[in-house]
Amino acid sequence: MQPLLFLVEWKLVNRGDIAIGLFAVLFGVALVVWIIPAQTGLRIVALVSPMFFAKLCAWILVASGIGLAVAGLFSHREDILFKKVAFHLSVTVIATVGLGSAVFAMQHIGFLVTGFTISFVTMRIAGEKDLRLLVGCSVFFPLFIWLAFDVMLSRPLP
Amino acid sequence: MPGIDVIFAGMLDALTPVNIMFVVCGVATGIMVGAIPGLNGPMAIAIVTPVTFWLSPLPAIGFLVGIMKGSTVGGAIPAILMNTPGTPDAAMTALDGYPLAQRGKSGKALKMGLYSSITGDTFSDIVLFTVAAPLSLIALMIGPVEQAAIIFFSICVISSLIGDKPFRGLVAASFGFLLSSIGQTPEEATPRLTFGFPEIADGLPLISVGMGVFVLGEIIFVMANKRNLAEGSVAPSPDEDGRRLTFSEYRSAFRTIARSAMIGTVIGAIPGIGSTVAATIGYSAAKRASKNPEKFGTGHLEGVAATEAANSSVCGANLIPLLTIGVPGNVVAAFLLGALIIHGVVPGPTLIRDQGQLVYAIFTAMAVANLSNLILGGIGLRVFGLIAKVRASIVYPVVILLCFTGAYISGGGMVGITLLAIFGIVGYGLRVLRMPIVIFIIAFVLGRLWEFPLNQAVILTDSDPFQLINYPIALIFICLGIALIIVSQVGRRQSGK
Repeated sequence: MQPLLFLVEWKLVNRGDIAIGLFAVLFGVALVVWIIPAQTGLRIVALVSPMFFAKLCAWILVASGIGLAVAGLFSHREDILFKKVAFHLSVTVIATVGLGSAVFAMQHIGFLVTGFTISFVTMRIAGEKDLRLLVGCSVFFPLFIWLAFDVMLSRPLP
Repeated sequence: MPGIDVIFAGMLDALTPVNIMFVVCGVATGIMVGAIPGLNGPMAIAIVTPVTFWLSPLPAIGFLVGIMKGSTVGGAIPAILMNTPGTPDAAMTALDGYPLAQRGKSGKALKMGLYSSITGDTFSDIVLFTVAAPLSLIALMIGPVEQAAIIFFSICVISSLIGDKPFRGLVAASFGFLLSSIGQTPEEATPRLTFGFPEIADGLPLISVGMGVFVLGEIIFVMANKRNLAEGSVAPSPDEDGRRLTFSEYRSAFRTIARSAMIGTVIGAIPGIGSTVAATIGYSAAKRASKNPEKFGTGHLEGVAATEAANSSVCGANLIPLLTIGVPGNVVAAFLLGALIIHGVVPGPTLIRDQGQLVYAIFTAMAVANLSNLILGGIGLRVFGLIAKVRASIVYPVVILLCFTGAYISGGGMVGITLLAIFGIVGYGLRVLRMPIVIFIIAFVLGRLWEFPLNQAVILTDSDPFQLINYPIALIFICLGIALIIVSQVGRRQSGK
């Protein structure tokens, strides 16, 4: 009966901890059996396998993942993980696209123009409405940093 | 233990005009950064570290130490003037500081905060100077097996103390350790987990990972969760009486300051407990000991003194585990550790023996930083108060651009920038999942230092865990670490977490 009662109370367990714990276990196992062996070069003369440290870390990940999942079963506090999922996913996608574009632009267009765009967009998202301040700061910040590092310190920027 | 000549040579090294200038600049930068809501000392250290690459170790570390100390003082400024703590540990300062400012006593509150901070910080530095060398002598007696066990124990301590759940801490630590294992192995440079990218053969750069997770991730998180960062409330200008702090007012709070300084120093010396906890405990201890506890929270000078003395006294003490056993106690120490390694200085038991002159020069730089805090703070608290009014909507673009610049010029080039962006997203994800960022960063920095003694331990024990019975100290540390995690988890469960 006890396991069935546990299933009935599924809504009360900490699903966030269980999900993170299980993900850690799966990821750790994948690392140990597949990723680390496939992505590590061969030992030549070393006394300790080059995989040792990475595998140890993966095993700690597995152990702590199990610990977290088990602790989640006995914790009756709902966690944040399953709240505002769509919001967090949207932020992640927007941030990924934004930062990806910034990296791409930084490489192909250069620091100054990209810096101007980054400043403008960031200030706008942060709620800045004063157009003069928006444009002024967006031009001044990248220009100042570029002058300081590229010109004065002779550290070329992209 | 270094001789008196080494100590004096170190002191003289630190007292050259150039080195003093870097410390003073660091303190000024730290106060400014601390005064800007949304920025803090660790963020500034992460951003500024690449700029110090071209300096020799002493001015570079002096600059970073200056930022660390200055930001603690600076954090109180917006907490008092705007009820917006510049740094998390200044949140308790706002409880009494802002009501004082609303009554036109902002100058008094700011000065009490400053003097308490410096008193606490100086006390903690004296403890550091006194105990670091004897502790490192003891640390020198430990072998690689014990060293590996102590690092494991430290991570268990940090995981059990930071955040809600110890196992979450351990997951974050494992993730950090795994990322630190990317790159060539220390023994024979075998490529590991590089996925065919030669650019990361030397490992993931600390600057990109640190700035990405700690700075960019935080900015994304704050911007996603706060609607308008272009606003702030400012306290009224102080009246004549509210501008000054008399000596008798300072003396009446001295008992509170001393108590908080001791609390902060003990807490700072334990890896994992940060200045926020110190400030909270210092404040509640002062309230319990006070004859007028009801005054706390309504604009009581002792409340400001208790908080500021406690959070500042963590600064010096958290370098004790870093300089003696090479374990960073908090995120500032983790970034300092990274900066030290970048500058060719490896903290640990041998540091004081091998580089005693540099260590005592750093200690002297810390004393200079305290003095600079006193002078700069005394002269320019109101000026720094103006900086506190700069809105986050204006600060964030500068910080993002500085992150991109730092990742690029620190040698990472476009790969550094790409990694910065990736770890910015990772940082956001970690925050959403409420994973303790501090443990992740500490583990990432500590990973490379852990691998070497761990490999030696494997060789010494013939890869047989049962051989650990021959290393009782190591065994005790490992068992204590595991027990601590389990006890801490069970304790939290019983308290409803």
